[in-house]
Amino acid sequence: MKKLLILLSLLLMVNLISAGITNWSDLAFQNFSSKNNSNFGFNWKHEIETDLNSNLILNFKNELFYSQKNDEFPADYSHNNEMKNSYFTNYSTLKMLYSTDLQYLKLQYSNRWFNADDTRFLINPGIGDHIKKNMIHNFDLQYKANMNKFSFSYFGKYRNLNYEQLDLENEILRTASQDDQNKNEYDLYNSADISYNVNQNLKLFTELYYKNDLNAAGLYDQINLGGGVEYDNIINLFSSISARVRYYNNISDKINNEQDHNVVTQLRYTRRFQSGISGFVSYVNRSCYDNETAQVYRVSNMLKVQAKYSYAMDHLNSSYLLLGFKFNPENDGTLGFIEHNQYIFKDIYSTADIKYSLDLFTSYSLKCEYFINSLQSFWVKNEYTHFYDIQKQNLIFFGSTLIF
Amino acid sequence: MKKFGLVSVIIILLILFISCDKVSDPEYHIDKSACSSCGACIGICPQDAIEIGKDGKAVIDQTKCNRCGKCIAVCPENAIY
Repeated sequence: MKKLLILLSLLLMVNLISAGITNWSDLAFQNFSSKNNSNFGFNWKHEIETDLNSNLILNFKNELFYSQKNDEFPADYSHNNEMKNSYFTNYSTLKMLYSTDLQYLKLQYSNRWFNADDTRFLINPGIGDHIKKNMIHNFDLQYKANMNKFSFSYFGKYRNLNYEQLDLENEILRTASQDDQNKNEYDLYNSADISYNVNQNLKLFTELYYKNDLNAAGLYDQINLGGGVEYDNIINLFSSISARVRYYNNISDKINNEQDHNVVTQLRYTRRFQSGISGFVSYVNRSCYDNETAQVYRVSNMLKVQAKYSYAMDHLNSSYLLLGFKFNPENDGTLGFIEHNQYIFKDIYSTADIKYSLDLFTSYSLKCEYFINSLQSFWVKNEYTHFYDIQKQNLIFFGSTLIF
Repeated sequence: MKKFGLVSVIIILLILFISCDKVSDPEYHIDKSACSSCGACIGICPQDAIEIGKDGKAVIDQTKCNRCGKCIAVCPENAIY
């Protein structure tokens, strides 16, 4: 609780000293209930951004989450369907962006902190079972450059996971030694690509992804090398079409040999009508070729169709009805969804949505939002999810979104 | 006629892709056009296999992922496929 108060004070201080800078703040109090249990919690997201000059932007983002932890759950209760594996976390990001017409540079440090007592055990395949995360540090570097018809980009991430290792002894988990409370795992992710614009619609590219597992075993290395073609065409003011086909060779001891040669195909068609109706159809296919059996396998298919009807009811012009369908048979991702946003009166809006998944869940949510102006609002939301064959959960939020 | 040809090619490709055998180890990926970077998948992943990538969207480390599918259930944007 002391740590929580310190964090809250720090955030308030940041808020006060940053007067005059663009602030975005989202604070939500929530009540989670499932199977006669009820927990109170809150989530506070705060983002501050300032332009140091016309090319340089500094951005700080923080997200604090806290939830009461109730250990007296029924035996058949599954924590796995709560949207978290830790009840007290903080995520901070500090980034600097430098951009000109021809170059882009991003330097970023991010930190995820977990309160160990309120964090469930995880499995990390590179480390083993029964670990508890303490902290994750990420150092990111991204660089993009354009030269005539060529463009180049690089992204690197250095990741450090600090964790506590526990041993299972007579069915009781124990920290084996002092050293086990403060262990580290390191990973380095690199990706680079070069592309050539054949004309304004067509682009050829080649790319390399290299993950270096910096731990002693180094078993989780991965290299992807590939390339492809991208086509973008804005047909007219109302419609556009895009396609992307990419091949990559996957080299890793931890990925099945069947998936050594992969092809990813993406198609998207967007259409807008003058009557306020807009929508898109997108399709993604992932297939792989196995050298040994000389056979093509499907990894995943996703077909998504979405239509939105926007209608003018007020000055904010935000009322709409959205209907959509996603077909993803390989990974139980097939679902249909409806979302309706409606102006009620005097800057009050309601949003209702229903998601019906064939294999996983059905969810309903209802939100009522009062806009002080277009940048500041208060809202109340109820979210009910029924995970099939497991449990039902209900979340009630009271929140505010403030941009100043 | 041109449109009809294009639609026919797409339908034939779809049928060919869907009629192939399914790979023995499923693999999950993030639809970056739909991902809102909310972090719910990072919060639920029991393998510590998801992190924010270069464009600010979630990325799955395929060497760590054990294909449990929990991220699919919690994603509010249905961006995992």
